[in-house]
Amino acid sequence: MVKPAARPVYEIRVRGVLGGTLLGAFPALSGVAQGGDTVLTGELADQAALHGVLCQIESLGLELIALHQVCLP
Amino acid sequence: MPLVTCSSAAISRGARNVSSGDPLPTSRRVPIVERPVLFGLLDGGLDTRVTVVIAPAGSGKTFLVRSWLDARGRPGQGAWVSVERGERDPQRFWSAVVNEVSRADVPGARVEGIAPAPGFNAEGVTSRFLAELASLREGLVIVIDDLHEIKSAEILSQLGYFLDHVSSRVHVVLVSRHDPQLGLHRRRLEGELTEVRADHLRFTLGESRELLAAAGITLSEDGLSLLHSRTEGWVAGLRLAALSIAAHRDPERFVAEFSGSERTVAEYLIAEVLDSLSPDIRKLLLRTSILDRVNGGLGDLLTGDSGTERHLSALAETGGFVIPLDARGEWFRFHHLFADLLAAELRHSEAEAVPGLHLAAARWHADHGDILEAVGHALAAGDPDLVASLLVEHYFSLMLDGRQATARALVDSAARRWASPELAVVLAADELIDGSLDQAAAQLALAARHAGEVPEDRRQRFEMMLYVTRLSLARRVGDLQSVLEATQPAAPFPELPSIEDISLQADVRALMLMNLGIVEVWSGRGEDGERHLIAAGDIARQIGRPYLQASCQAHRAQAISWRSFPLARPVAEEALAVAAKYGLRGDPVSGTALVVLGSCMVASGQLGGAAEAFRLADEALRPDLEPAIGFKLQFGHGIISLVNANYPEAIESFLEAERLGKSLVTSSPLALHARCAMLYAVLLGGDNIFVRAALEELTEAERGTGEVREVVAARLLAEGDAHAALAVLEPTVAERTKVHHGLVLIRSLLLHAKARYMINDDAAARSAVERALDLAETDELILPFLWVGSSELLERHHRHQTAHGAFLKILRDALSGRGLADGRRQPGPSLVDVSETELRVLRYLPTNLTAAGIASEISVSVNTIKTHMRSIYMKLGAHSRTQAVEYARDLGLVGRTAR
Repeated sequence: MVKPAARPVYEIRVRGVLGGTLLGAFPALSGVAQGGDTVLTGELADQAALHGVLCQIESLGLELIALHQVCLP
Repeated sequence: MPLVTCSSAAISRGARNVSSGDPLPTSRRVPIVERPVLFGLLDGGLDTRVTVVIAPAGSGKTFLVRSWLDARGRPGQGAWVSVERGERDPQRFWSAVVNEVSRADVPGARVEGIAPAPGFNAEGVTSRFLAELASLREGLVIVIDDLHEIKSAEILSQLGYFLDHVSSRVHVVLVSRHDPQLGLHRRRLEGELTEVRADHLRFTLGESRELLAAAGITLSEDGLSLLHSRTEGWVAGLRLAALSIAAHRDPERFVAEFSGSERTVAEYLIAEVLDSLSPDIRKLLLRTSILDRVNGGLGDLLTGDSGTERHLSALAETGGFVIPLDARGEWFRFHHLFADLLAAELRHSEAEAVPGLHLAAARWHADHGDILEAVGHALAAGDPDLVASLLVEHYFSLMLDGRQATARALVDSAARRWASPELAVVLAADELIDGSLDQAAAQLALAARHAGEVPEDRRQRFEMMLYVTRLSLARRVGDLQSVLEATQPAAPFPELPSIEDISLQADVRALMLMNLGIVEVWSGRGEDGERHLIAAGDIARQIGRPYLQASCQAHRAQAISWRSFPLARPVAEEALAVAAKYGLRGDPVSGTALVVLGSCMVASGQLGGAAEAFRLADEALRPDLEPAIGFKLQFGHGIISLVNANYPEAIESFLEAERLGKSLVTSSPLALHARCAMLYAVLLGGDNIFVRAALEELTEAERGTGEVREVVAARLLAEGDAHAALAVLEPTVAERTKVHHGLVLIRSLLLHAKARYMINDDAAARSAVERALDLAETDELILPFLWVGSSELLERHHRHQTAHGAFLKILRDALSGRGLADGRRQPGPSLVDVSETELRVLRYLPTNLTAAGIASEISVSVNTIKTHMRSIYMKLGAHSRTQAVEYARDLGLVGRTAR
């Protein structure tokens, strides 16, 4: 068995405060309101998973403000 | 309505049900706001090649473009294509584009629709489509909506090519949520791009006022400005707000509360809208949000209530978020943003119900033949059994429908989660399409090893798929033996009661018989092969699968060509006619037929026509996937180069043919065929020493074959040793039976004659030439005479010494480069107006088939054939069949080869 590598943690900031409905659309991430925005934080398996989240943000009409990796694998 | 709409429901039901093209009913009560400034921008865009309308979900992109096209008001000048959600199939995408444009009926362009086929030749289809558009006499606008749904880099690159080459009369409007990879920056610099972006689309304060007024809402100026700034002119926000306000007792208070909230506009408003609805409707919207499209039955099933259709019709009239998909008001879909918001709410409030809803939707779609949707929902429901059984039952039909890419995405996603023999056999079939033979074989072995795990009730279908997939593999590698050993079913294939009821099984049956037939033909069991190909072709015609029909005909022509070129030719032409009729001109199926046609032309010395057929075949075929046909194609190229004395190219083609021949398990005769031809080309190029050495390397058995003896004799003749040549040729010349048209025998006789003349035995030489003429005339085989270089032999063969005077003249013309050598007839439009069916009959007239024989070949009654024959005679002014053939040949309506 290959030892699972540590997964990168991302912080994604979107505009507006997300309620339960929209937070539920990002089950892999936890959301915290911050100055009128929401910061979604969590481990994502790989780039494909990250793009999946970005796609979801686009589909739900949310505005993406910032994205960065907080912990390198 | 000036534009032809393409309902996504119709497309997603599969290409066999072409969308009705009915205009969508325009809802009267959805508030409409005229946007003259943006219309001006779009009008101005017509001077450039491409307009992009790019903005986030809910910005009113589609609405803007549609109302602009409506306002232009010239019917038939717009084609509208809505990209399906998550589109992966190039074939479905291009079929939608081509079919919409063909329906737009613009002056000048004759655009042919496309029939579904596995393995889509996008290059062929797009170049034909571009050529058709080049003849447009008036402007045409093609709108591609929801471009961001394209999930295939292949489609985007094809689209980029299309945009670069499309006629300047065509203007393309691309509507997307984000910038597509279509070279926008370059187009911008070249001044060929018009852009409408999020900022343009944002409603102004005035437009917001107009929108609310149109919805019957009046707000104070303060309230309006508060709402406008809270939504930032985002159209979906304003529309959702209008819906909520309409249900609210105090609009001003609603706006104030909304403005005071920090929640996102969409989430706040969707909650408000849902609150304002009755519990029934709320349940309906939430529970059907998992669907791509919904109708009354499906909605009622998921809600457990009745009244879906009534509710959806009402919502479509007022909200703008429910969109009718057909004129009859049966199918609806939600605005994508709205659907995604509803789905998020469903997962939030009723998470535990979601898998059950997907399962119910999967079963409903499966019952209604929407297999890909069914599989998608079964995956979402997490039901591996349902996924596997659907894929096993329907995979081949999906492939024939041209939905392979989408099916593959689903199969991959299932295979990542689960492993089972059923998924393994589906993966094997999938691997075969792209030619990964080793992977396919590995998956097949896996499936066979675990066959016992397949539940009893699904075992039969599984075994059937295993059998058909093995046949496909065998067809690719030319290995019948292993297939017969491994798969000869103990019980024969179940007889099918009637084809109408079970078209899906008929698909599988036709495919199985076709693959079996092809394998048999390549394994030297031509008679069985032809019989199975005819049976498969009959089923294909009955169930309306032109791809399979043409494919069976093409391979049957191939089979026939081993024994008779004149009989093979009309079958190949028939295959090409079917392929052309259904837009499969650039498909590999046409490639196969072209190779056969080219081979027939080569045999009768029509090198110009043959070269053109082989050139087209090069474009259509994928030799790696069809090594047997690829072999024949390379061999044909080699012959043309050889006869034209271009020996280096001939050698190269024969070597490539040999390589392809060797990739077949039953390879030895073909590979040897190519090797001998290659050595002969080397010999003609003057390298006797190489040939001598190469001949030494052959096995004893190979050295005993007529082909090898022929090369040895040619070498000896080149070295001036006539006696040795005669000795080597003796066993071949003594042979009384003719194998494979007697080509080797004819060539050996001609070499024999040359040797006889060298030793001044003129009488024996003439008798050998006479025997060669005798053998060749039946099928008008000119090639052997070109191959051996027999001008001198024929010059010495006087007309009064032969029973083949007429044929001798044709041969002399061909060899002297006059007439046939470059194709006496060139394919082209005929002066006589012969119908397509008559042409089909006409092609059989040069053969020795009776009217009844022709009738059975093309599956019509004898009387029909006789009627066509009379009509043909009349049109050609002929009084007999022989005369009709003669006149038709002069007009280039039939080939030269047949008698």
